[in-house]
Amino acid sequence: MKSPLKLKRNPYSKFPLGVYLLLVAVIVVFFVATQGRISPSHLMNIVRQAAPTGIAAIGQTIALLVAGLDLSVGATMSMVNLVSASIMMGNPGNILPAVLVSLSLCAVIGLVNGYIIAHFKMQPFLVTMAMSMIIEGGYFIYTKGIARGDVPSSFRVISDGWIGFIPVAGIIWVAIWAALSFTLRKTVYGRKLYLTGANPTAARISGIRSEGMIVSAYLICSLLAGVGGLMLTAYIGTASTGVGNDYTLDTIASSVIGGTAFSGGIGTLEGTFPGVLIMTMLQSLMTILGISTAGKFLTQGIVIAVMVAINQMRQGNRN
Amino acid sequence: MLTGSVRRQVRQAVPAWIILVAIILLSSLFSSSFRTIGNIRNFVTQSVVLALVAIAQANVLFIGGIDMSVSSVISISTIFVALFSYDSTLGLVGSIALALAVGALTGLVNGIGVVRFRIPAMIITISTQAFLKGVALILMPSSGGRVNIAFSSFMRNRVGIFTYAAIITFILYVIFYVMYHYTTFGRRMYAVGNSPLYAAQSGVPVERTTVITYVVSGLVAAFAGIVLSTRISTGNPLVGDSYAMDSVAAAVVGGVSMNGGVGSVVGALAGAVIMTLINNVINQFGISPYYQYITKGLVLVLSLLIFQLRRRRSV
Amino acid sequence: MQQGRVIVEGRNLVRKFNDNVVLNNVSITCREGEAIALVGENGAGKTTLMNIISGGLKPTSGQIFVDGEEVKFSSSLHARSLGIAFVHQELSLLDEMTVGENIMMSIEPRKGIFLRQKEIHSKAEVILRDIGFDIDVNRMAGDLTPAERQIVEIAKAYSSSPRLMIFDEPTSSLNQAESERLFAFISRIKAQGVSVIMISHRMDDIFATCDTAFVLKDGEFVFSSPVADTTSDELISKMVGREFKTAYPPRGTYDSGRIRISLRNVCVGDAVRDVSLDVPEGRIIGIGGLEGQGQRELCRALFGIERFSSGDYLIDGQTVRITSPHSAIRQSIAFVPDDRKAEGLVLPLSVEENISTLVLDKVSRFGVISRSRLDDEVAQGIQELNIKVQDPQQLVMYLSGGNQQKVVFSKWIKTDPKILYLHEPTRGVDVQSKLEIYSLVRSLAEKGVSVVLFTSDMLELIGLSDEIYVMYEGRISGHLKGDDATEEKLMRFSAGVNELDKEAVEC
Repeated sequence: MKSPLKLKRNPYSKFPLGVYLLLVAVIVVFFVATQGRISPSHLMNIVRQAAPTGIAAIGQTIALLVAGLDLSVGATMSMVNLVSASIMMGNPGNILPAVLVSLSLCAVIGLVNGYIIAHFKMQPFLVTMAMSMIIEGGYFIYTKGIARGDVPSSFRVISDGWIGFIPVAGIIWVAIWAALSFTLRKTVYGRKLYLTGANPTAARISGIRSEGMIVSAYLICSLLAGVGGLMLTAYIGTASTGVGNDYTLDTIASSVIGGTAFSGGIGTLEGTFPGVLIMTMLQSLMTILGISTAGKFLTQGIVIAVMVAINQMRQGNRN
Repeated sequence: MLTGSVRRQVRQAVPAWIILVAIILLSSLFSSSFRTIGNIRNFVTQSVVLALVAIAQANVLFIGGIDMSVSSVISISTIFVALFSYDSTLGLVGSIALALAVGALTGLVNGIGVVRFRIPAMIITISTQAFLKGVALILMPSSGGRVNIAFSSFMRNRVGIFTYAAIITFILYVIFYVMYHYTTFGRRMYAVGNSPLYAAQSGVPVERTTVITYVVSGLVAAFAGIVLSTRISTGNPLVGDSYAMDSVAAAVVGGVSMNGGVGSVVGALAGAVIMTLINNVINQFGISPYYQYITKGLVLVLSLLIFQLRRRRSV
Repeated sequence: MQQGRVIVEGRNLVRKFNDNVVLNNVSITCREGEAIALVGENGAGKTTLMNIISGGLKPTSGQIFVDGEEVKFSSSLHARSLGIAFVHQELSLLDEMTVGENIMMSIEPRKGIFLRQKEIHSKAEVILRDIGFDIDVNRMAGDLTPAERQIVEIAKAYSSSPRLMIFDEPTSSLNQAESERLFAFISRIKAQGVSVIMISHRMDDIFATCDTAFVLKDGEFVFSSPVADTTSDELISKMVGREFKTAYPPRGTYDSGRIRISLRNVCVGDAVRDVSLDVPEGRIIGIGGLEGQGQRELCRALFGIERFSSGDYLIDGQTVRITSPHSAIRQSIAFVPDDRKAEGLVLPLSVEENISTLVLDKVSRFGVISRSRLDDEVAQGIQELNIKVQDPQQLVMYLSGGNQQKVVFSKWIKTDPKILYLHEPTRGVDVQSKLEIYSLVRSLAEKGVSVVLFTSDMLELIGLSDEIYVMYEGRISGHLKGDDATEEKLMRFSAGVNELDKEAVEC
């Protein structure tokens, strides 16, 4: 047991400096691997590319904070891609209905996930995994197996637009991140979320409606997966079946790099942000090595296993 | 034979068997194409792989864990067999040994992750799943290779409606049934699944039991992959993907508890056949195969819900 | 009773939890065929001593000898392999296995790798019959009654052929006839040379079975005597009469005469039966008794964690239906739970977050927390209760038990409650913090807060309460004014002496 006198600060209010150092290290590796042929505009392109994951990862972190897990993030993103593209059909006038329909579907998914998990006390991974199967089935039936739709260029601006040097996608990502980061740190809701996640029983005894908090976390998670799906649609510019599916593990990996624990109540969005960039850069490195698809899975697997093992050991040392 | 807790565990499988028989009877009644001998033969062949994976999954569920890495183990096994078995017998034996070794190694990593690093089973097996999928994609970016013809035709030999693969699967079920219910190791597994803490207090070596259980699951999953390769005759880095979820669903439908310590492999068999049957029936009735996803998802959620509600009432 | 070979001996055993000394320099000797009654109040260190003797807990210092040789137990399994078996009070059976399989777990008869299922059950049956009970070995452990579970647990311990068997209140879930059969079993194993230690609160049990009485008080050895040479009055007088190490605040002066809470024939399942009592404004009402007599269920139902199955619950004369902690808090009720780590605190978070849990709405506007107002509230809470922290951002998991408990109190006081339910409020708390908590509770009462104190610490009960109710088997077995209460009287009510008489008449 460590000395109780030593000041132990709250991992949640602490700025996750280590992750940013790791990010710098990864950038250096990236720089060396590309033999210095990397410019700031390359980096900005990586930000643009990372935005869909980044937004969905914010939601995943919030689900993890209530000791949950959302494995339906990827399927949700795929669904939003197919649904929104098929509604837009290249017509800028249809953008609004496409967005509204997509996000409403996401809201339903989130509410169902949250309700089943909170009310019936079922394991989150099973519920969300089953949900992911149902979503996949749903969009297959909707598209009859053929992805249709056309993304108008006025919608693609949210991904490939630039304001001077800064990509629009980056601005949207940072704006959402800042808003939720503020919510988690500075609002009553954020506090209650952490309290519920870290100890739902104690939270309930302190009068917090834990069930509602958990449902809201899954709702936010699904909605952000939906926004991520829209960003992804704008990024690739077409409808493509199953395009979001591999994002689930990316969002989890990004969260755990950023120090979010599976036990709930521990983690920050300030950590998830560089976590996403690290994951994206590692995968870009894999592409440089010529193993882009395989590399994606390799990095996901190694990063999750190693980071969780490290987190668990650190927590184990505390007790 | 059914003494003590064995009776209780096996009884969990009864509803699944009743449902299975009911589905078969109803389908035979309403679909003339279902009841053809060709379809039934086909259906038995289809069931084999999932039935094998269901053993692997039920195995870890009994000790209160879960194994999502079975899917990638299956895929990578088909790749090994397809890459190395074609030319020679030596290559065949070597490739099978390699596949089994990788399966066992994966199980070992999973087990150690759970026991030593206290990583939740779901998380460590998802990680090894992703990692192995990456390795599989490097070895074989898309479907390819050739499986030893002698081997695959051997496995496709039939006795009546049963292929050799089906018969081997059945023998494995008998072996595992005996192991779970009539050996000391099986008893340890159920004890760990019931309560690792109390099991340890009663002198059960919890950590060792856990690791061995994951290794056994890895081996069985690898074997399932080998059998699958003889059916598709090639290797494929993605062919195993759906088996992770399907095997969990099969086990749960078969009355295996997600909380550990309850259920029997007898039920997992019924569950695996039911899950395969759902696909088959959907095909036979000309329903869009896309409904399979929704049906499977719903079957899983509903059986979990029923289990959870039943457990609540008994508490 | 000094004959017989010594089987197990503990010498100068000390056990500290952080700075709390729970066992101080105790030596105990167990001889072949001797039954020792280990007595003392709650918290006297009995269970700690037995855990050390049976390998479940390592002593801070001191030695243990088995057959004259010093051993250091690595686990309770190690101790069991040396013939020491502890039948715990909290029972650890595997619910999805049969009685027989539980009893024979990890010592199953086998043939090669195969189990002999029939033999497992027949052997278990023999063991149960040896003990003197007839439970179907094929039943699932999950389906057993508490009494049956207790017996199976004993059988499990006995199956390893121990030479020292330790029982922790074995009769608490048994009826009269079952207890007698258990005592007969204990006499039989004594005759076979097995040594027995029994922790018990029931004097009858002790005089029926034991040879030697061994009294602990405040973690120290105070008295030992052959049972034949002592009386229950003497034993009670030795175990009570703890020095009032703690100075209690003076009794309350607040007296408005108004009744704040009334309970009329409330029940919680079978655990609480027909309890009626009144709690006036500004008074501290203590609820005592041995552990597990329904106090826990009662206080949890009062705070809405459990539900009353019948009866009326009135606050200020109005019937209230409190169905969740949330609704309780709306009625200005505060609650300090007994399990600080699981329910009182959110351990992975900071002192600030824990203290501010219930004032978030007060220090925020449109849901946004005002940093400065939050800091003020927290700083005030820390200062008010004299909580020792370097920084409000410190994690509560690193605080001492006393400071943790003050954080819990601080959190609840911030709601300005009218009613305060306390459940074991000073368990695992150092003496200094105890004192501070006592005066805090009294000062709250002086401001008109109605306090209900559920505690198994008898001194605390007497020292703090204006009125005391004692619970026994879910009912109120006694009601005393705080000034009239003595440990002897409370002991009587707690042991259900009156109740037992009544039962005898009914039978």
